[in-house]
Amino acid sequence: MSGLDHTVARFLGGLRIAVLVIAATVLATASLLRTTDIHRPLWTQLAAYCAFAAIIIAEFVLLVRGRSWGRARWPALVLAFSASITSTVTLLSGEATGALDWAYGTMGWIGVLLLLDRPIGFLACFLATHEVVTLTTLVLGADGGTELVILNAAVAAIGALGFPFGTGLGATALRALAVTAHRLAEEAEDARTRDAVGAAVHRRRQERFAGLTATTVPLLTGLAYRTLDPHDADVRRACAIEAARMRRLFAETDEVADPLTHELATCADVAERRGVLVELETSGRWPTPPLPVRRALTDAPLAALATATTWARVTVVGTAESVSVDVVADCGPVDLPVSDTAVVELETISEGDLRWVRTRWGTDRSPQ
Amino acid sequence: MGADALGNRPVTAVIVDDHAVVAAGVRTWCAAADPPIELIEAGPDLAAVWTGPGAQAAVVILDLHLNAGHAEFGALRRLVDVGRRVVVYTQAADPETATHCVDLGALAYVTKREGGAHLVAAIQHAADGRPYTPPWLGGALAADTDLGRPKLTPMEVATLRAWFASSSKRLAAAMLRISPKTIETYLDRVRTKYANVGRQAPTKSALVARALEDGWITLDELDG
Repeated sequence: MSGLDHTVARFLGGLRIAVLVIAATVLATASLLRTTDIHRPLWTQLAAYCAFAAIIIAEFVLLVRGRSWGRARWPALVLAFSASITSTVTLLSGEATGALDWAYGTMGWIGVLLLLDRPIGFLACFLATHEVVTLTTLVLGADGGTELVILNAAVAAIGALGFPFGTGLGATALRALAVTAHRLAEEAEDARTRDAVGAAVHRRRQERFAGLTATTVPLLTGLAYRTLDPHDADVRRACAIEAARMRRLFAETDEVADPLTHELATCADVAERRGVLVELETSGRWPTPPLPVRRALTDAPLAALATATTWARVTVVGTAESVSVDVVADCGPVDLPVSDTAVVELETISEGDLRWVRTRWGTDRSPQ
Repeated sequence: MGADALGNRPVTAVIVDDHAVVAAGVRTWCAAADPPIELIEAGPDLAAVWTGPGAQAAVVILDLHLNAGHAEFGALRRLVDVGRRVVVYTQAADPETATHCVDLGALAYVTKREGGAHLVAAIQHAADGRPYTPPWLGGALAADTDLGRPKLTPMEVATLRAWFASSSKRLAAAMLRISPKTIETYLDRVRTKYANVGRQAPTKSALVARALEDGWITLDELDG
């Protein structure tokens, strides 16, 4: 069942129950049950009654199970017409649409019951066919065509056809409402999805740039307001570090086999553009660390690499259990960003102008 | 180190490399070395090491890839088998090739990305019959996971890594809080252990015998 069908079924659910109750009541209070001694032959009337009863019971079962008639409605319609015609034709002459014609009024409700979830045209055709069949039987009858009989039939039609048709119109209005409601619900759902996607993208972007807002933005602000002097060696060092961090950020979304070395290589590229001789070597194989770990692993080495004066050696050594990043550079004294020591170990030594920064991450240490 | 085996004469070397510019560069480094190294022959193929003056050179500097796509492991094996002291000098920086050359008995494996200082040191060590482990080879040995690899102590692995990371014995020693001399000892012990596993070759036997004599390593450690 599609989403729209489901919405329509929910809207028409109450009306369907009402129609079933009406049809059942009409059948249960049919005059046939009080006039069994008048009908000749009686068995054709009883057979028609049973056919209508069967359709109503079937509708009850379908309703309880939450199912619609589907294709079964067409044989059911054939059965209903057969019952209705049998009843009318074998009725005592001139009684069609009269007090003894119990099937005439019942048939209208059977039609609504079978065609409630179809467009109103189906019900209109059904009622028209029913009326034509009944009138034809009446006119062709022995004393058919008299003025009284015609008037009587017209009055009967108002109740027998009018009420079921009105119910059908009500269902049509409800169905139109359901279609509108469904469309509006879908639009609201689409809007909610778009909002959620937008929020997720925004959050991800903010996460990616969170590190930059804490470090890059103050630097840029300082340069813009001239509170920082571009000639100052410290400011230039800070700029070099931020440039490397941004390059690392851009490299994080690249699809490569070894993201850690790739991110370090982009940082090395920044240093090389400044004329620093960078040696980048790897040894061994290691499992790819998650992004937060890679950032923690590269934070401090990156600062040393970005501020190297003439030479830097970057090495990655890995095993199945651990990976370490080493940078040796002639960067002089530089403030290293504090790596998340819950995630990685940090070691550093200095000798003269040389600084050696090592970070290590092991899968035996669970990141917190 | 130096040329004690040959008296006071300078160390002699021959280089086999199909790029003339490499031979010229190595000649310059050798001339500038202290003590100077005499590069007595250079040639694009192996004839240079077997015939002429090159046959007498104390150290053979061998380019592993004289032909595209083909490593000269056979040539290395034959040279080692007759007792030549070989320094492999190559642009191939893959650990499997490096450990294979070490297994075959090369005294050093120097990649062309590494500077002249490491090549000169390797030639000087080789002339003396001693192995030399440049930083890159240290990294390759540290990451060696081959089943046949010798058992290294944690300190030996830490030394290989520190040497690989810093390419400075002084810095590596400072990081590990040991003396630079101990760094050299650990590197030599690793090479002795490698020389002791797998195939025996004259240079490798000599290496192990010497290590035992000098007390770098004991028989118990070699059995491990």
